[in-house]
Amino acid sequence: MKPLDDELRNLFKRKEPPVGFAGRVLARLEAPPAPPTLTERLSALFRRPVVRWVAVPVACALVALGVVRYQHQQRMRVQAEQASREAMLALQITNEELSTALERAQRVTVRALEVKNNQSEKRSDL
Amino acid sequence: MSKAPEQAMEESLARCTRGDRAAFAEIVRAHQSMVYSLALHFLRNPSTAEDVAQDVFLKLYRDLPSIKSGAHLRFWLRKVTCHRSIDHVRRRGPDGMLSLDDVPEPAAAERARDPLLEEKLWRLVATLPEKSRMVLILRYQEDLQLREIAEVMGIPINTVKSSIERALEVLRGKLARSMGGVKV
Repeated sequence: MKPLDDELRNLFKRKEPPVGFAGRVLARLEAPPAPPTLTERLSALFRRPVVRWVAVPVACALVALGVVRYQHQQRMRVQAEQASREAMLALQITNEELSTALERAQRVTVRALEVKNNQSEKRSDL
Repeated sequence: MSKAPEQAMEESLARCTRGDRAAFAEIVRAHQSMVYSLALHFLRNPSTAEDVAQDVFLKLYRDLPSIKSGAHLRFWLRKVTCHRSIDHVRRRGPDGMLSLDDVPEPAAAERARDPLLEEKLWRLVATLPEKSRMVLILRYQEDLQLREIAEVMGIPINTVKSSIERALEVLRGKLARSMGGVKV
């Protein structure tokens, strides 16, 4: 067996490409370039200095707008929660007032019935 | 390369930079086996190797004004082919590797081959790390010196030296074990 060096030299011997290789390379030179993909078009767009200069303030404005909108929504949520709590409290107070009024009405009714009964008894005694 | 072909290459380069397509075709024909073989030995897929080789020549056409001489052209082609081949494997993973028996053989007469040993050697070479494999191909296909390999690959010369030593050691060990202890 030959030494490994010789085996590797033989293994890595240069090989010719398939027939017509040079012709195919030249044909690709003549061919119109493939239409750029969406990613390529976007990256080409952002390589333009004008777009880059415009993109930075637009991005900043969008972020600022997002922050303002988020804060506004947070404020609205807090206000809605506050209003909800106040409405619950008002209902609770109304409920208590109604209960008190009902109790009073019941007491008055009971008292009126008692007075009426007493009068009836006195009249029958007479 | 002797002086006459070197001079012819310089002339082709000069004509090519003036937009002469025929001169570019001459350059492609003169270097196609080097570029294609580097890609083929690394990728082990004839169709992918041809794609990579074509891409290399198309890039060469665009970068022609930066090429200063025939020697610079060979260095440039080796460098770009190596990097493109390694990038291809890193991006897409190894393609279905075919046996190199599927590839047309060179016209030159060959010494007696041992197909089994060759296949075994291919499999072992395929297990080496990408850079070590490319270093071996540059060493044994192109017969480059360590310094030249270091320049093409863009790595220190000591790394090239240790890569070759380590790769040969691994190949010898694995080959000897697979052949029942026969020294290679």
